[in-house]
Amino acid sequence: MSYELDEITLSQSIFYYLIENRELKEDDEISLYKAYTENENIMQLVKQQGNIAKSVIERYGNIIYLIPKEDNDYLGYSKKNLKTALCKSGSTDKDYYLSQFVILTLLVEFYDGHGSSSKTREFMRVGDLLNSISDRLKEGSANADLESEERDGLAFSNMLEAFEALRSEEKGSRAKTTKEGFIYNILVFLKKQNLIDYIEEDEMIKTTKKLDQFMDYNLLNKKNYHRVLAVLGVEDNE
Amino acid sequence: MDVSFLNKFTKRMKFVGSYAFLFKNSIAKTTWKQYRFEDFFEQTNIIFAVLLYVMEQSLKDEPCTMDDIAGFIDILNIQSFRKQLSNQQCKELGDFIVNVILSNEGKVMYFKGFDFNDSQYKDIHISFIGNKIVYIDGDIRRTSYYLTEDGYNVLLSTLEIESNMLLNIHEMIFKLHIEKASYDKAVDDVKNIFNQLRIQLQRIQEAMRRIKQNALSYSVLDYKTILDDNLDTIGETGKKFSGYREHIREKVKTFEEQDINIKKLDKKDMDNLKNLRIIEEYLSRVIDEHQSILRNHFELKALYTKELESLSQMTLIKRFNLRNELFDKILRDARYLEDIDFFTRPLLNQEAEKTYNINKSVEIQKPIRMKLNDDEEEIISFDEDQLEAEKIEKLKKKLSFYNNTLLVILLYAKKNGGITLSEIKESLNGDYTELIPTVEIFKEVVIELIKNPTIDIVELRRERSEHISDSSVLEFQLNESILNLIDNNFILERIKKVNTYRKVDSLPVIFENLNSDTGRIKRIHCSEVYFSIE
Repeated sequence: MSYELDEITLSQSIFYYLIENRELKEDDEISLYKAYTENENIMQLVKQQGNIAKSVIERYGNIIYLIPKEDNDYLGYSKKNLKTALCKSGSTDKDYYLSQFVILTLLVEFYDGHGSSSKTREFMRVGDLLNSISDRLKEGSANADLESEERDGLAFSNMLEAFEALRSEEKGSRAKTTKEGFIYNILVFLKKQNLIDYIEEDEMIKTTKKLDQFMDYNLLNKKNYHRVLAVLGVEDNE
Repeated sequence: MDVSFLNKFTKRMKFVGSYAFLFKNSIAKTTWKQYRFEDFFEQTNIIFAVLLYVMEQSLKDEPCTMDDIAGFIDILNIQSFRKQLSNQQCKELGDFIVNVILSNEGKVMYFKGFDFNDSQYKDIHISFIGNKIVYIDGDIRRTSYYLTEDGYNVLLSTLEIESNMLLNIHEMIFKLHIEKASYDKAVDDVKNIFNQLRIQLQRIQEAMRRIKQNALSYSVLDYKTILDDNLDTIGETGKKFSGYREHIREKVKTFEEQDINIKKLDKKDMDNLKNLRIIEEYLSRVIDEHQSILRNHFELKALYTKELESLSQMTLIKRFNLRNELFDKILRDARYLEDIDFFTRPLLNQEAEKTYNINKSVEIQKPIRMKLNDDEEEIISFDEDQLEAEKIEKLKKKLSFYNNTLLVILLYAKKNGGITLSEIKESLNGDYTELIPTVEIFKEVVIELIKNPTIDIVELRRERSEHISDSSVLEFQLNESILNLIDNNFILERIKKVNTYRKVDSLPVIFENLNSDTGRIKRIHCSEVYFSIE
C-alpha cells in the first residue's frame, strides 16, 4: 500500500499531539480529528505508530485516546511509579495494595451493571466509599484461609489492619495518616488523570465520561478478558 | 376480557413509581428523628418544600448548592416549622433529603411497572434531581442540584396541568388580562409563560445531557414526546409573541406620548406604564427563549442521531461483569492483587520525562526576580484550586501592605494632630518598610489621599450603613480601608476628619533604598504633603 506524504505528515502530527495530550478532542483540534476519522490511511498510520509506541489508539465518542498497553512503563505507570504516586514515601507494599484495592472498589461501586452500560450509579460520597472499602476488606479477610496468607504475606487481614490503623478524622483532613487523607490522595490522582470529578467541598465523587467510556469499551470488554485472566494467574490459551 | 384500559399502564406507573420511591426512601429512616421530624407527614412536607426550592432555582437558572439548600431549610425552619435545629443540622438535613431521599444515594432508581402488552415487568427509570459542577464567583467548584424532567413532572402534577396544555392556558389568560387592561395581572401571566418556555428549554438540555451520558437510557418515546412538545412550542409562540410585543410597544408609546404632550399621568396610569414595560421586557425574553429552544431543538436531533450511531457500535461489544469476574475472586484471595495494576493500567497516563536542552544555558539571562515570578507561576498552574487560593492570598497580602502604609500615616498624623511627609520620614529613622513596602503602593495611597482632600468619617459611616458593600473585595479602596483601620485601632477611634494637601512651595522629600514591584531598588523624590486629623 502506498501513502501520500501529506497523510504521513498528518498522522505524525496527530501522534505527537496524542503523546503530548494523551487525547484528541474533536472540539479542540478539529482539523486533526477530521483527518483521523475521515481518512482511513491516516487512521491506519496513527494506529501503527501507536502500536510501535506500545500503545493503542482508539476513538470513543468524539475523542481519540492514546491508551498505553499494560507493559508500557514509559507512557503508562509501572507498579513502582504507581506506588510513588499513590502512597506516601517510605510506605510499605501493604499501603500500595490497599490503594489498588481502593481503586478497584471504586470501580466496582460505579460499574456493576449488566445493562446497555455498565454504569450503575451517578455519584458517590467519600464517606460511602470509606464504608464500602472497610466492609469489603472485612469480607475479604473473613474469606481468606490462614495458611495461604502466612505463606504469601499479601492478605486482606493485613490491609484491613493498615486501613483501620489510619486515624479517622472529621471531614476534610489531608494528612496521609488519616483514612480521609489516604483516600484524598488517591482521588486527587484519579482526578488529575481525568477519570473522576471530585468536588472536595461537597465530598462528591462523580465519574467522567472518559472513565465511563473506558470501562464500557475497553476494560470490561470481553475482548480484553485476558487481562483479568492474567491478574488471576490463569494461562490464556486463546 | 378487553383490557385496553390498561394500555397506558406503564406511563401511569412512572408517576406512581416516582411517589413510591420518594416514600420508600423516606419512610422508616431513623435519620429523621435526629432533626425532630418524627411524623411521616412532616417529612413529606419538607421533602416537597425542598423539591420546590430546587425547581425555583432551576427555573431561575441559578446555582443551587448544598449551602443554598441548607439556607433555605434554615429560613423555612425559623419561619414555619420551628424545630430546634442549628445551622449545621439544617445542612445535614438538606444533605439527607437531597442525597439520600431524592437521589437514592447516587444509585440509579428503577421502578418495575407491568406492561400488559408484553405481559412482563419493565424497568422504568426514575430520577428527581441531578447534579452538575458549577463555578461560584468564577473559581470555587461546587455541586449544584437541578430538577430533572421527571422531577418537573412530579411537581407539576401536584398543582399544574400537563405541560403542553399549560402554555396555551397561560397565554389565554394573558390575552384576557391585556384586553381588560389589568396589566398588573398580565405581568404575572407573562412571567408564567416565560417560565414554561424555560422549563421546555431545560427539558431539552436535560435530554441532551442524558443522551450524552448514555443514549440508551433515553427511550425513543421520550425523544418523540420532547420533539412534539418542542414543535408545539416553537410553531405557535414565535409569531404570536412578536405580535404581542408590537401591541404592547404601541400601548407604551401612547402612554408615553400622553405623558409628554397631553397631561401628566396619574398614579394608576404610571403603574400601568410600569407594568407594560415589564411585560414588554418579558416578552422580549420569551422571544429570546423561543430562539434558543429552536436552536437547541436542532442540536438535540443532531446529537441523538450521532450518539445512536456510535451506540450501534457499542452494542456489538460484549462485556463481562466486573464484580463477578474479578472483584469477588480477589475478595476470596488477596494474592490476586499482586498484578492488579495490569487491569487498570490502560486508564492511567504517565507524564513523559523531560529532556534538558543544553542551549538553554546560553540563553540571555532575565533579571532573577522576574525569573522567580515566572517559576512560581509554573509551579502553581497544575492545581487550579491551589492557584486560586494563592492568588487570593497574594491579593490579601498586598491589601495588608496598603493598609499598613495608611496606618503609619494616620498614626503619625493623629499623634501630632498634623504632620508633613518629611516629618514622618525623620521619625521613621531610615526604616521605611512599613510606610513604603513598595514604591507603587505608597504612591497609590498618597495619590488617593490627595485626590480626597477631606475625608469625613461620619459621612463615610453613614454611607456604609446605607449601602450593602461587598466586604470581600480584595482591592485597595481608600474609604473602606480607612474605616476598617479606625474600627480596629482604638488610638484612631476619635478621628472625625482626615485632611490632606500638597505643599507646593516646599522642598521635595527624598526616600532612598526602596523596593519596587519590578524588583529594582529605587530612590524617589516626592512633593511635600501635609496630613492633618480632626
